[in-house]
Amino acid sequence: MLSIGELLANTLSGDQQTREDASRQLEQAQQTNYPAYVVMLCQELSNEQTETFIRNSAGLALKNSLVSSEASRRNEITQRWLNMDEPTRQQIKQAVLATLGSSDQRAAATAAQVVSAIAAIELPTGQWTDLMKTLLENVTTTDNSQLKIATLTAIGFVCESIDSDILAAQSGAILTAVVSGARKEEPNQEVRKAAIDALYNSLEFIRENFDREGERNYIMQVVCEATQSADVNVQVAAFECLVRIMQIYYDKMRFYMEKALFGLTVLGMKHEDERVALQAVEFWSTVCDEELELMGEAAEAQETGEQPERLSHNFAKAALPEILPEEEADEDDWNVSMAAGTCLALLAQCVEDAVVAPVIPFVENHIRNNDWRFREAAVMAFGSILEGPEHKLLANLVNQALPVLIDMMRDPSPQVKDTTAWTLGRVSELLIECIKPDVHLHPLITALVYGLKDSPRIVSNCCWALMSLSDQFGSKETPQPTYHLSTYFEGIITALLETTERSSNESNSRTSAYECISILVQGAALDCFPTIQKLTFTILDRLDATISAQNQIVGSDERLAHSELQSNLCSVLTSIIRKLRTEVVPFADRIMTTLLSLFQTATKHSTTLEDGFLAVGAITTAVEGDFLRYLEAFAPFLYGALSNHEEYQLCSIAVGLIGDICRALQEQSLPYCDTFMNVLLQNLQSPVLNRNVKPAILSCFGDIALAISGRFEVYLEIVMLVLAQASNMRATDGVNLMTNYDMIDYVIALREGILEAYVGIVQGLKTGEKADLLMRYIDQIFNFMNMTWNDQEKTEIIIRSMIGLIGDLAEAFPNGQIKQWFQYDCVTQVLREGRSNRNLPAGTREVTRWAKEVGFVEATAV
Amino acid sequence: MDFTNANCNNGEIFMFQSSSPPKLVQPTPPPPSVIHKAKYKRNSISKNPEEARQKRIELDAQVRRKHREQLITAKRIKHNLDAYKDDDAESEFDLTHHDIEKLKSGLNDSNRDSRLSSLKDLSTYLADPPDTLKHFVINDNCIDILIKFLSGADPEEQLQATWCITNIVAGPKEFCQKAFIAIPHLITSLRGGNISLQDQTAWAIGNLAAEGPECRDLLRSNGVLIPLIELLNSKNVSIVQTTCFALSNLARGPNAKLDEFFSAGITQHLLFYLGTDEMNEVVSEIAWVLTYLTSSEDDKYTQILLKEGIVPLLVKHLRPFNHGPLALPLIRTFGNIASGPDENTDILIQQPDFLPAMLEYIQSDCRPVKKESLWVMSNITASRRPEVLIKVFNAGFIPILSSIATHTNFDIRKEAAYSLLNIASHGEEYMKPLPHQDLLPGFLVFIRSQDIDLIRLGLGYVELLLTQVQNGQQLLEQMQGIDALESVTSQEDPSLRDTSTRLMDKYFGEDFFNTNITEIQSTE
Repeated sequence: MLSIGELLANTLSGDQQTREDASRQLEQAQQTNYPAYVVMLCQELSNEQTETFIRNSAGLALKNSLVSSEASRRNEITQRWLNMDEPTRQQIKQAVLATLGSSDQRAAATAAQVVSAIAAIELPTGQWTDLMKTLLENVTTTDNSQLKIATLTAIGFVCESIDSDILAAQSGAILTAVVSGARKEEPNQEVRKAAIDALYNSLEFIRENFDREGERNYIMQVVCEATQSADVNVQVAAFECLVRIMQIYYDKMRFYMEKALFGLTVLGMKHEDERVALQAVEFWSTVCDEELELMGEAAEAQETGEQPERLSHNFAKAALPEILPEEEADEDDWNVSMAAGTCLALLAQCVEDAVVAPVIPFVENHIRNNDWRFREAAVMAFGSILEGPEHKLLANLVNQALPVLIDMMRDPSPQVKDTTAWTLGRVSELLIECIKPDVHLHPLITALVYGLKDSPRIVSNCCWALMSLSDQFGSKETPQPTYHLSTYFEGIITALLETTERSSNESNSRTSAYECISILVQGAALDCFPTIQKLTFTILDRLDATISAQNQIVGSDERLAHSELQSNLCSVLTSIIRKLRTEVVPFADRIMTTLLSLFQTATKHSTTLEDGFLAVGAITTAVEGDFLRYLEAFAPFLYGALSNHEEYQLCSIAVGLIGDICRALQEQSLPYCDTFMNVLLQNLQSPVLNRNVKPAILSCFGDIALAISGRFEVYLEIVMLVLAQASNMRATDGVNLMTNYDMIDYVIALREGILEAYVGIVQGLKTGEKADLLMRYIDQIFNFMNMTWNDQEKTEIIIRSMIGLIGDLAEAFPNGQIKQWFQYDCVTQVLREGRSNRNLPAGTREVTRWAKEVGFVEATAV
Repeated sequence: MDFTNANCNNGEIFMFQSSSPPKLVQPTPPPPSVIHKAKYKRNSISKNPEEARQKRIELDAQVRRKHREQLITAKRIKHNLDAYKDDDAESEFDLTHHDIEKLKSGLNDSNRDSRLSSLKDLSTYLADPPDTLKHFVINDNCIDILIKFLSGADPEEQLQATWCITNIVAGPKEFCQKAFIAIPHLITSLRGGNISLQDQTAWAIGNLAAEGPECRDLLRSNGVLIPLIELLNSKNVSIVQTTCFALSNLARGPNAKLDEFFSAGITQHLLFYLGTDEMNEVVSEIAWVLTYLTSSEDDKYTQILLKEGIVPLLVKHLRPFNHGPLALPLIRTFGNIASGPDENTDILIQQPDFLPAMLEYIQSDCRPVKKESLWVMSNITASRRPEVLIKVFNAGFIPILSSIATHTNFDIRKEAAYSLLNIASHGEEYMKPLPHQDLLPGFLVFIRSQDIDLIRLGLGYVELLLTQVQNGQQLLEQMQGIDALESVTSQEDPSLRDTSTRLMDKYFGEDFFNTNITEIQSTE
């Protein structure tokens, strides 16, 4: 048997067989005797005589035995460690801590990771209480720089990986250690860098310290001084810290902004090292983020007549003349010029009109520069300031710029073209009134269609510009007889179809083109319908082709691409069906044939089924009662999806589809209802099904009741039981102050579902002249409404549904049988709200009027 | 599963509880560079298949909701339209230009039935107006046509046209402004003798008044108040309710010219409806009007009402207990009254049933009722007259207020704490009997919070405890009160900092202060 050191060495061997053997043996050692395994690893890690690479891999193996990204596995690992006896754990922790001081830098760095992994297990259970004290001593009582670096790195890892609630109690010690390493008195710049990195990770939970003025001053002083370090790595880290501080502690920054931050960041933007400049720009983008949010809060507060809780210091506005970022372009991943573009867009939203005057000279000076970088920067600057300032201020500028921009779609530089296409998209989206159909539209569309033939990244922004035009000129509801894009419609669709024939989806180009086709179809006017009908066949042919190609697919990447293509095609098909409505009926057979064979070939985990189901949903609305022809063939897929609880999105769509089918078939759906109800009730009993499907199931009960009216009688008792149980869900227990937002949203969704169910049931039974069956449940219904009304958390949809339900009940019992329930306070209050609250969705008032007419007046008249 | 009734009694359990572990804490924001990268050259195209999928699912849900709504609404609206229409054309709220033209010619038709049916259609569509219809209202002669109906002689046409106006003024601002020219005609309708037209008109006026102060001024200057208040003579429940709705909207805001309400004789009507036992359905609406009349900066309106003896009538309606929001306007009116001079409070507590009823209301399960009742009590206890406080003590408020102030949510606790502190600050004999053993921990939690009001309340209490209760200092030490005071020293607000420092210096001396300095300062 080989020693653990040899095994570790072998895991890095060039020979595959050796590697696999070694890994297997290590795995076995771990399985058979975990304590012995970790002790051995720890010995290798801490042994100063061992070679670096073995120490390193011993440390990593040790760390890997302590962490996992899977929740269930993590639990197991935690227990395995905690079940070891105290002395063994103590021995390992001591050895690992000692290794932090090793002169072998890599071993020390690995030890830092192990410290954090053990801490992540022990600190939450209240153990290893002296860890922070030890680490603090490492930093404050030694001149050993290596030890300091490794210790600070360990602190950084600990801060990053452990819940801030648990660390908050130790924040004093952590902060003391970190700040002491970051001070300018610290001669070793690597120590400072490690300290500032750790500080970055600790910013979340030192809130209490940061609240105290003295401590805050000191922290800010240390960070600001670090931006002046001789070592540029320290400078970058310090600026990163400032950005994060601005994000978390904006409210406390006023003093520092005046004293230091403003000057430091303005200089920082001009720094020769791009990483510093990038962070300085990010700093101002973050200022804008915060101030935009505060503007939103202030507007909201004004609406409700309250004082906003926090105030904006308007840093951005005050600093504007100094901080406008100069832009240059580069190809890198996330660079100064990209950050500057984003910053400028944020500034424009933040300071509005004030941004225009200083930026325009920059645009004018550089838009015809010989260097493409300057041209790109000029266009980017122009595109960035289009959102924020008043339209009046921009209209003239945009008018002048449009011909220039359209021209620049033929620029030799792809970057310039890409940014120009994006800017044209922004103009279309934000300032459509500047685009004069008779002057600009023809050259604009020609340029964009031309761009569709260009490189993939340009395609995407051209598609977006075309989508914006369609959104602005078209109508998604009732089609207009004709519209500004009618003349170009067929040409654009043809060009987009050509683009989608490219074999790759580089830069998202194919998806963009398909999405663009969908949007164009959604906004199209009546005179485009012939083109859309032709498009239908092209899309169906392409779908058929993907279905027959299904068997030739190998490899997971290819499978993914294939499934994405099918999703794109289904999505266009759905848009077409929704648009054509009854005019799609002649092709319904062909569409359903294709969809059914798609379902037969779809793999279990692809999203293809989902997208196909959405198309089926659209078909039900178009063909209505005729859907019966397809139901027998389609039902197996529907039931399959409903019982596939792991794919809850698919399951949720399938639930909705039952509702669609019932709406389409009306009483013809009766023969299927037993099965529908069985599956739905089983789903409600499932403990594994994602809860977000459940509200949709409740609404679906309402859909079924509306469809089969009086025949719903057989399901009434069980459904009422379900609804009573669902009503018992509460978001808070009344004592707990912590707010669980997910839970609030879920309870609201449930209540919306419950109300939709009640509305459907009441209307259905009334139509079937069986309203009397409801008498048993009137108390249940009104108690539910009373509770829902008295809960602070209620949506406009809830109020609206309640108004409707009250009216439905009044109408179902026209002879005052339930008069006493109409005396409930909530009834008066709901109706009052319905007619006086302007924020309720359109149509609420009509429902109120009706509810008042049919019931409320009769029921309460004396 | 079968659906015979026998199956339902075997206790089936449906799972609505979470299958995923709850997330309690709000996630920390992602690093700024991640946020900003996502905003670079932002466009609306999906960045990845998952985003596209979510968009599609969302759209599907929206479309389904719309279809469900259309089906349900169609069934409801049909009920109204059936009488006029033979074909059962579904009311789809999509109108083409052609449809609008048809509607217009229907409104101008020589046949009364087709005019009426067009008016009904119009008001239905106005509830959710498509763009074509908005154009008709804003840029075309829709309002003029409606005014022609209003000034005509056919009561049914007048009523339907008023319905249309009601829906128009409930719409967007530019709709409302368009309808301003109809105001004189509406006021004429108020004066007529047609009950359903009056009711409908009052509703339209209520909607108009909700639009904003300019609109309220306009209505007043056209003389809306007198005919509106005269409508209160009608003993029709619906009219009285609608009229109160309109009046309370008119009485909103700082420049509501309440004098005019009183000179038009509103007081007698309010007293009548509160006094009679025949019309309990209107009490809530009457009380809403009162909340606005009593909330004016100028106490003189409240005084008029008090002189007329409104308080006993209001107190009468506190029973039977309405723990629902029906009680809200009543309670708010009491709160408004109690916020005036001490004489107002005296009038309230002289009602034998007032304090017992309030004691019930502050324990209501309905949160807004509970909160506002506590607010009323904080106004009552602010009175400078000892007899008021003695009554509050004797009515049994102290244990209840104490338990509220130390349990439940902070905003509720805060309201109860105001009352307790009010009581305590009247002097030693009121401070001493409070249950400090229970109260102190609660107030210390206030001090440790980040909310300036709560901290101030907490400090106020601790100061009284130290100055007026014999073993106060000892109690505070036992419960780690010094730590709590210490935490205030880092507050931004100087007055809070000063108070806590002063208390620490005075009662616990310099030593306490110096040994507790934080570690970080030692590294400086």
